[in-house]
Amino acid sequence: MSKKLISGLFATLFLFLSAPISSAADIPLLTWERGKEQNIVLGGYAASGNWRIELVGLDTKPLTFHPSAVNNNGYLVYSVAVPKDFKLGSYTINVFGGASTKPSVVAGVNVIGMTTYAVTQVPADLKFLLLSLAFIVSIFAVIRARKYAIHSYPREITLIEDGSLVHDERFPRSLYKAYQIRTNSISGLKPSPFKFFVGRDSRFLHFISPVLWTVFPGVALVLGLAAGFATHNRIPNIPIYFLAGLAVVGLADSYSGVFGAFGFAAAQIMLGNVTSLRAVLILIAFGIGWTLPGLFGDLLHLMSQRDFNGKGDDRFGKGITQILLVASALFVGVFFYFAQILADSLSVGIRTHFNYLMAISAGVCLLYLVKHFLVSYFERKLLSSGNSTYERFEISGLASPITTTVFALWTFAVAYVWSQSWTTAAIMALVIASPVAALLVRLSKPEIKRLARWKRNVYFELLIVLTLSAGIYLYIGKLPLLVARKSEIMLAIGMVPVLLHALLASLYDVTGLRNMYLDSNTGEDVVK
Amino acid sequence: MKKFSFFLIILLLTRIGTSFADTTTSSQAQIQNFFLGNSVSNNGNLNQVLALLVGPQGKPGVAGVAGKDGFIGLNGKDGINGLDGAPGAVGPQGPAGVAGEQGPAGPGVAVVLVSSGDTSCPAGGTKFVTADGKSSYACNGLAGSGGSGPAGPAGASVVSTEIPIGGTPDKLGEKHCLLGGSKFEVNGTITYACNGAGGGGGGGGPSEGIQSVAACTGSLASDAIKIVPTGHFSSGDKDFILTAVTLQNVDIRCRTFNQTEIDLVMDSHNPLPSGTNNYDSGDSIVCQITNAPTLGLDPKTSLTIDLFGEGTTCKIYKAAAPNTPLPGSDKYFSRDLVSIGISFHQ
Repeated sequence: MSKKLISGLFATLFLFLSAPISSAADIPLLTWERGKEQNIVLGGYAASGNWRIELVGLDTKPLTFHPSAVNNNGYLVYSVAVPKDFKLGSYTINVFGGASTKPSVVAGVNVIGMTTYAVTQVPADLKFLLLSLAFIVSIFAVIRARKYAIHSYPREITLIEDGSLVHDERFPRSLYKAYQIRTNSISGLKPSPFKFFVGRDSRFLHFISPVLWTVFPGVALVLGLAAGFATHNRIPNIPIYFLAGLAVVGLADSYSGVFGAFGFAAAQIMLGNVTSLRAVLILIAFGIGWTLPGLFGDLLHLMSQRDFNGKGDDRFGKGITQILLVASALFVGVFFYFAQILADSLSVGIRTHFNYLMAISAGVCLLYLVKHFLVSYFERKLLSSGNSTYERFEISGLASPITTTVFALWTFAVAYVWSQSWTTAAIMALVIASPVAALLVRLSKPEIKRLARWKRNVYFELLIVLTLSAGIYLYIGKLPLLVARKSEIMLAIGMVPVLLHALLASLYDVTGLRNMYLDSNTGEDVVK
Repeated sequence: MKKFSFFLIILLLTRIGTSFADTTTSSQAQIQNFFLGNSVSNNGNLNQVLALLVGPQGKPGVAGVAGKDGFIGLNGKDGINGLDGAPGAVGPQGPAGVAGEQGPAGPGVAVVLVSSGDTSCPAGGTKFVTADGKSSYACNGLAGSGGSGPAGPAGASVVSTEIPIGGTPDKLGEKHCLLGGSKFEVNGTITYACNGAGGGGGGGGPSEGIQSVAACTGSLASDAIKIVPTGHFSSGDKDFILTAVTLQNVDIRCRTFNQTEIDLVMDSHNPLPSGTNNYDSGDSIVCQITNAPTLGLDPKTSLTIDLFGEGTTCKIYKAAAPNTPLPGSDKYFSRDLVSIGISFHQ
């Protein structure tokens, strides 16, 4: 009897002891990766209450979820972007609101490090990428205006042109062939903006030394190979010294930057790390970062100078010139950073040296300024020597059908890797490629005379496009949808302002052809 | 550059083709791998979306049982004393007091006719005697002497009429001499000699020869007597002890009195740090000294009364028994001193 009594007492004791454990087991336990946006869906009577939801942990400032708008069924989505440096560990989701003043713990969360990168789950990165793309593509829509069409630059007469290559004792005989190859590789290209700006950019090394100009692509190729082998299968984590080295090489000479990218790609292919479209796109993204920042910086600088031409050589005019130069340098740094984030967005690996990337981007910005001042110095010296000639280029057609097709395919592939949705990828490729495709032709109608009053200004137009795009992203961010779905919508319609701007630019082009002429003194389009 | 690009594309396609030709994976997976690679690991157990359904608001629950009162907390520490308040403004002058009551009727005035030959009225007249025995006269004039002029006209006759208490009315009806008196009529001119009202009780006279302090004050207002208590700090009692009282500006006229007396009205702050005193709150300490001869001294010298000195006698008069002197105390604390009165005795 006594044994039964004791057994009964123990059973009762364990029943009460197990009650709190049962209570804790009632809430779900989630596993979330930091660095991504996380969502909570509230349904039922959620719209009627003023709910506040927080991710709460020990020794950590709580993260507050932001509510979306309410959908037709009364559901709304609470979202929070868990920072990349958020403290790992256990957290609870506390809900405040309703009749109770105390929070309700509705779930436990184990926050872990990011295991795979998916740009559709990191809206901040996605917005940055799309805004950068909008900026770059919109430049193409602006540049078709007549006042930006004609460009020229002074350059040294090459050693081949003046026949001094084989007579100059300072130039090693072993490099004759290499010098000829490089000279011909550029001059052999069809006239295009790319050829013009690469040639303009390569003056810097030729000013310093024709020998350096000759061997630099080879140096870049070796450096790229070394970087590719050193990186092995840890993309996007290229060793920091190689990343910085290739960035400097590409900024000093874009032509050599291409060879650096080739070397890196060759090494990666030989190592067997490039077996998918995703990997090819990553290589292209890195190649963009090592090749194009300086070229696009020069393009933007030349265009903005046209906008503010005629401000005079007084103090105000010089101040404007300096501001435009600094703005272009900032753009170069951001462009390099964009290329790296683009590579990150295509990779499933996680970048670990993020702070170094910021420092390198800032360094690229400063190096562009230094390069510009040195080129200006060499230009003045060249013009006084008389050993110069002018390269002139008129932008009649910005893009060839092949260029447009490649760009559309690249956009499609990137959007597919991001969204893994054929439809989304097709829409985004169509929207982004359209402005570039518009550069293929010059329309003859419809003619809207009112557009003739439009004073073209690259920065002003880009600002409007970016503001509209940002407004659209803000609106999409408030939709009661999960982050992946919102990202898909952003990819599909986020570039619509770019498309509208390109259409307007084409119509302006029609009007300008018939009703305007270029004032040779001011460089401005003038209404007839 | 074109050749290099071509070489890279060949190399790239070789690698991709090798991967695509892998027969260990399904065709769908091969297509997936061609675009996205085979390193994608979609872990479905990560980044789950939490769905919460909010139910309708429930009815309010029943009121809970009130809990027991908690323990009473400990008393808090006393706060520090506040600062002294600023002196109040001088109040307005009070209203005039009400008129005093009419005094009782005085005793009657005896009117005595004085015949000629009286020492006070040689020619005769009327004598008025009050109740306290004071006399006043209304004498007839003496006969002139040495006059050589013709005899003057006969003097007007005076008709004297005694007025009883209650007065007598004149022609206009106004009453005169309500307390009684006499009425004199000379050639139609009426004069009243009325009895006065009874005077108030007089103050006690200086039976012991006590002189007031005011009388000892010098002729100048600035020479008013100053009373300066003197004391010292007692470390044992941790307080100031009253030892003497000095009177300054005492006029010579008061220094000639035999004794000087001070009356100390005391408060009491028992218990004291060491011992007790013999006086309580409201008691008076009366100390007397015999004045020394002061002839030849500056008439405005000071006079010090050492409470414990030779020739000084201090007695305690309890408030409850003011007529019974008790022996003085060993100590008088300065802070107990409420007021000091002084007097001089013959």
